[in-house]
Amino acid sequence: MNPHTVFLVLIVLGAVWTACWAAVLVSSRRTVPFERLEKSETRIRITLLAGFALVAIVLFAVTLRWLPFRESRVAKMGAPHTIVTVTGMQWSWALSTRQLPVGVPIEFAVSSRDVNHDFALYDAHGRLLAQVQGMPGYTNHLVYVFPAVGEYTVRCLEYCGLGHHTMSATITVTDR
Amino acid sequence: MIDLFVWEWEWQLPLIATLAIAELGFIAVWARRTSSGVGERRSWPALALFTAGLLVFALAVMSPIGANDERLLSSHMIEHDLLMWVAAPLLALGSLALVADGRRLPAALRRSIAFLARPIVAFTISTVLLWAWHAPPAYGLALISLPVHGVEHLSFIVAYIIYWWPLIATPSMLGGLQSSAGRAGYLLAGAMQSGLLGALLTFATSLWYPHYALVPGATVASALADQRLAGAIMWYPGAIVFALAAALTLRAPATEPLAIAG
Amino acid sequence: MTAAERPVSTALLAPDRSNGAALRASMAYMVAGLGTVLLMGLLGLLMRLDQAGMLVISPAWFYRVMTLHGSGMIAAVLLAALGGIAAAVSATTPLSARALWIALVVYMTGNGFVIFATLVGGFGGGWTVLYPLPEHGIVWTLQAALAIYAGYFFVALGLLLFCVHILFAMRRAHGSLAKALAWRFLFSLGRDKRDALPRPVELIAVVIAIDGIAAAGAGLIYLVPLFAQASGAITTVDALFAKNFVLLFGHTIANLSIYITAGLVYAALPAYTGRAWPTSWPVAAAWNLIIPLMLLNYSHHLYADFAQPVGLQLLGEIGSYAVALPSFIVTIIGALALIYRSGIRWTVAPILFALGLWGWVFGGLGALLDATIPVNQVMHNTLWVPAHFHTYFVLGALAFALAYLWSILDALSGSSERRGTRAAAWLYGIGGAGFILMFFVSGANSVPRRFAVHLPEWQVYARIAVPFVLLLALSLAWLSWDLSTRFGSAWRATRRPVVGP
Repeated sequence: MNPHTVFLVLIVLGAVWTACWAAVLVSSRRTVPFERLEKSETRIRITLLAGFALVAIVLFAVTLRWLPFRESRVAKMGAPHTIVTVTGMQWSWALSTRQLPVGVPIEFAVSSRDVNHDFALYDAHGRLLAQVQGMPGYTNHLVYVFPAVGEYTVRCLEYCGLGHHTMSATITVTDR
Repeated sequence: MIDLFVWEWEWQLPLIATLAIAELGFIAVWARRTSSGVGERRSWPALALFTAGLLVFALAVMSPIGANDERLLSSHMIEHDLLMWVAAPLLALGSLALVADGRRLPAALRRSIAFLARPIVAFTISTVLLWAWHAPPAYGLALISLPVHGVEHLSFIVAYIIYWWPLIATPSMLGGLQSSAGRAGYLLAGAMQSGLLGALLTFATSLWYPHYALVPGATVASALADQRLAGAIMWYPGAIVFALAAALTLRAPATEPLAIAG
Repeated sequence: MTAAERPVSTALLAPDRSNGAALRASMAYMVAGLGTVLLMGLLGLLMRLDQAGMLVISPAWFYRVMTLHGSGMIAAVLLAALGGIAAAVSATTPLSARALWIALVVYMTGNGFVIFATLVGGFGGGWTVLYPLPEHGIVWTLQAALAIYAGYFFVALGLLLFCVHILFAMRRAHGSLAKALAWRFLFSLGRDKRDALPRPVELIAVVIAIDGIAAAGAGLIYLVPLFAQASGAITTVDALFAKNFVLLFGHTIANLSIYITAGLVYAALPAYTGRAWPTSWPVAAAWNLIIPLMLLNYSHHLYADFAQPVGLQLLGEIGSYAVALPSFIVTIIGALALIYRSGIRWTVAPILFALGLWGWVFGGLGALLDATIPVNQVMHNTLWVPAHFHTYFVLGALAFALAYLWSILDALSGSSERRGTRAAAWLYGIGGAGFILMFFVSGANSVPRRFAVHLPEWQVYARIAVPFVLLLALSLAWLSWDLSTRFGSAWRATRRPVVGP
């Protein structure tokens, strides 16, 4: 999932909405008796309701294929090649290894020694790729395939106190 | 910290004498003011309230709570809370009967009460006195001198009778605050200023009153913990007291006096 | 009678001015809320300046300011919203001014605790006070955490008192809560009209009161184990339990504001457009649906907590999608229909209502995208999240609340707004839009949220946002000043008999 694509979707939909909204505002210069609008208002409502409900159902069904939870990812990508134990703590990351192979499923078993943290993987261009919360008393499993070799940055994305913004680590991904 | 607390009572004759004189004086004025005139009855609730206020005053100072006020700041804080938030309102409520008809008071007295009952004046007096007595030099002086300590307690009582007065009195009783907006703002101001003082004590990283670290058996660490607790004792119960006061005094219409004062 | 000539005042002040006291209390809520918003906004400006690298403060201070800004803003906008809806229903549903004032004192006491906990006590745990962070402060003490818990307790209690009073008042005025929610009308698909229908804003008041009680209840449930743990009575609190309940509390009270203020649109927009907006079947259906739906979607905050049962995760996604439908189809389309070809005069209140409608949908689009689980993987806890809720607040709830307060002044003050203020209202929209767009851009570029220090490549986004924030501040200052000159006469008018048709 590319954040820029998501942003583009927002802008496109937002532009459509803004145009409709602006059109309504501009239309208000002229007057029309309200009774005459009621039928078309109801029609618009029903059409949009049906349309949005359909989109919502389809979208929901599609998302079921792309769930980030362990079972879904393993089913899609295959069994993990390597398991990395990750422990977040105020304010650093402990990883069982920082050298990982490219192109195969890696399972990150993430937990926390103290407060909630969020294990977030960033690529070299500063793009967020995947994340999972590190919760005290729990281990959460993120299965991820690194798409390319290079340096990846781990950041903490759950506010955890004074050093929250300093919590980072580097993972080097190489050919197998 | 709790092991510094000693279960003893501290009988203070000057205080007992003062309170007795106050009670007798009250009864004298009360008997005269409420017995003259056709159809006026003696306000027994007023007498009960005033007496209760004096009793709380006595208990606060002479019971183990007050007896430990030189050993534990938290104990001292409970004592102050009782003076400001229990004794003072009781005394104020009882005194309402004496002022029941403001017109019959001597002119000078009437003007003074009316001035003191002005919300800004009442709030300023109570706030300044509270903060002044908590300044380390003043507080330290009260700890080593019994007469000064007595003046401190008396001034807390008087300052807070003045604070509560605008909320419980009506114009004929020389009261000051009639609108709900004014009362709500006044209560919040009172809660915030004492809350701030409590917060400052709760979060202070050094001792405001080194005296408490010098008590036999105490350490700087235990005195700091005691100070944090004292701050919380001013802060949290204060919020509850002011919220309760809101429930009791924010009434509509705000022109009727509280029924219990007669 | 054209839209311009139709009087706006008939619904607000009862003919015998019996709701004057309640109106004054409501206006106090709105002013207290909006005043706090202004102060919290300055803190927000400070945060943006720090993240822009233009006015750097220490991380400890940044996180304290961030915590106060978050909790203060949510409490403030909610307070203004509660005041608005109390004012809106008071003419036809008698409210006790006493109950309103007591709830206000309790609520503001809570705010005092939060202010002292952060500014004096150094608490910087974020407004979400997500356990166990408050007790692992390192730079703040346990007392600071306890103080903020106490603050939340009082705010929740104040909210609870207000909502319970609304339910009692509605029950008394309409006979039963079922009648106040138009159930007979609703379940008979609009055929059974024997019961007198509540006004839309009255129905909405019951809806938000029910959800407000649920949210306050969740908060109190959250706080009890926390107090117990802090006092040593229990050793630990389950992190998943804590997260579920703090978000059920926090997300719901934040979300509540937009629904409350949406009710204000129903109350005030009709008069400006000269068109009626009665309680139709879609209105009754949509708002009754919102009662359960508003409580379902908090779970979308836990998508990254893989320990959460998958069923709850999916319920969060369904709930998030579902709740958009009644809001858009009924409220937003309804409002647009009212404006369409209505000849409305674009004075300050209509401008602000229109801006709020825009922002609600735009913010909603951003929210729906982030509420989609695969998208959430790459947007959770980036600035995309603040982007959507700042849109909901600045160009949603706050715009609606300001518009409604303006409509009160239009109705009661007897004076008209200054000429420049309409420009100020549009500038509010421009400033707000630029400000929130930069948050969305930042989120799209994966800039994390709640970072005191931004990398140089991230700072540019905040730098572009700063002028828009200043524009927002300027327009708010102008609006506040205009408001303050008319407020006194409106206040006094609640004591005089109204002269009108």
